[in-house]
Amino acid sequence: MTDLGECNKMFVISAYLWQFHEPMTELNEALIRKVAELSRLKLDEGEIPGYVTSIGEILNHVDQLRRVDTQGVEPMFYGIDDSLRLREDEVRSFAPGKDAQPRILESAPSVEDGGFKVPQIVG
Amino acid sequence: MKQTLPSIQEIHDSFDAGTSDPLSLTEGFFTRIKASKHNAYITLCEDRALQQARNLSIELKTAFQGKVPRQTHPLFGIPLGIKDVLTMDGVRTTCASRILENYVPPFTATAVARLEVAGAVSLGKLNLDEFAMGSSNENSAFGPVLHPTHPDRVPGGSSGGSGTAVAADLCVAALGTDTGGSIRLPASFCGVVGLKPTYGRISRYGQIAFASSLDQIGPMTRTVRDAALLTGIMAGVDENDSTTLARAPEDWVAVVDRANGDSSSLHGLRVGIPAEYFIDGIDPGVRQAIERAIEFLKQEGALVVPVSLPHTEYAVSTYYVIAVSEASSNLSRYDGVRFGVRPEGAMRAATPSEFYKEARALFGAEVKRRIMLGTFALSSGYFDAYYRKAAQVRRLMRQDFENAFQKADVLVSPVSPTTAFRLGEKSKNPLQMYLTDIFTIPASLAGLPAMSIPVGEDADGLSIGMHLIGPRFGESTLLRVASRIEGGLS
Repeated sequence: MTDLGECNKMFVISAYLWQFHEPMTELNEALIRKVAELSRLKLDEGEIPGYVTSIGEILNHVDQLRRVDTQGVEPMFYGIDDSLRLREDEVRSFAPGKDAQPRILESAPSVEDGGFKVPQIVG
Repeated sequence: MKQTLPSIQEIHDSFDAGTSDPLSLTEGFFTRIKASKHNAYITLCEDRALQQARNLSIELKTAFQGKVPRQTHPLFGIPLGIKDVLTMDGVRTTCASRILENYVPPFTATAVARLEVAGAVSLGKLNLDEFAMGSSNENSAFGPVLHPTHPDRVPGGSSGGSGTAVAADLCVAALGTDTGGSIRLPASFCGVVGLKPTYGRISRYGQIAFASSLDQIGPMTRTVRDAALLTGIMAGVDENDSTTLARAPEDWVAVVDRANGDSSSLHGLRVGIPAEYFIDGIDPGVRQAIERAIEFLKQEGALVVPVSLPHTEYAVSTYYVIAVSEASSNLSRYDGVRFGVRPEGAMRAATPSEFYKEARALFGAEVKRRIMLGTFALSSGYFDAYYRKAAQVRRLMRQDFENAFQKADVLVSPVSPTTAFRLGEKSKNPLQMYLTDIFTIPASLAGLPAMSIPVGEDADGLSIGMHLIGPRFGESTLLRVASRIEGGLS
């Protein structure tokens, strides 16, 4: 095993060099506006500088990941390696609720002909 | 540890003796909850709970002739609090968000359903950080939860309502959920037992998702034995959650009972001390309490071995890329069409995009920040540099643990570098808040079981939790160690 003192020394040196790196992404108000649009979030003008600062700080911290050698490392996207448990795709009925409507419709803001009624979402 | 509130076993003894019954116990909890200023609950299910308790009281006298059916109903008449991120049929489930303030789900989470089948009475839905995103419970749309004994302090998050409710006698035990430390941190701050099982042990069906590859339900309790009991009831395969693991639950209550009665149960156990978890910046009081607990484990015959988890310094970065990426995807369903309140302003919107934005304006600031971060990390041109890179580092972190568990059976550290901090102390600086979770995040990323067990208090009387991390499916070892600490370190 590598000597821990040696490891610490290496860490101090790499941390020292790190301060001269170029940040991976320059975060500015335009980028925050773009990301908000992609996220379908409406931001007040007054909120934007705060997000530039806080998200900028977080991304700056996250930039440290670039130091890690991940050449050839398989990404771990899931919580388990085991294959997922699958079952037959069977139709099952929900328990009936008030007025013989399925329970699942009870919390719908708007119902028509036994179905969910939603606002027009395609032109 | 100081443990003045009765355990589930002791409550059942009092039912057997006729000095208490499910109905009077449940009524007592509602009286205390209503008088409490902690803001631990968002919604009470009083009628439902009292009806359940009344029926159980009658059954106790008639069908069971005054003796609690502990084998068939191990939670008979036990009042529980449920974190408001878990669904209950017909009970409002808000995730502490205005966007779900009217949501009444038509189904019950598997974990809750299994506890109720075992006889539990659900008192209500516990407060949390909005969508479980936070470490202090200050991000709730229903106001912050107060620390159980120090009202100027936070209870920890995101299961802050659960931590406070258990510690302040507002339920016997609670369910929390843990994505990066959300059970363990409030358990540590509030001085209760918290267990995050191995990822996949407990079905997430009915748990409103934050980060699906990390989220896990677990108990927050007064005693280690109670945690073992609840975990055993909830664990196991569920056909409604394809990530539940085939591994059968063990008899964890028996594990705890054996450890309690056997002073040699930790002989030869290898306790690993990760060098990277004992850094500068840990409060002296916290360090002292943890060192004392390690000394106790040595006296119990455990062997202390140094281990290294070299990628620890990247944990917070890795976690925040992965968790926010999954969150941005999971939270896309709150658009006012599929889920979420449909505000008046949205109905007047000219385009679908405007409609969604009006509906999603109901998210709080921290949730918006995480959705934007996640959307950014997943967006074209940044995916490889952020999301994929973080997923690779996650694999390396899991390999660190695999190496450490070659040398050790269990790892110990503080749960958090500090005790409960003051309300408002970190809420202006998200990055500082994220760093609170530095010791709990790695086990979440690796999908490992981990616990918080009270080991003392600092000079201000604030609780300190020791963090135990086990290998995959290592719940028995955690419970064994926790049980000896609970019994011996006071």
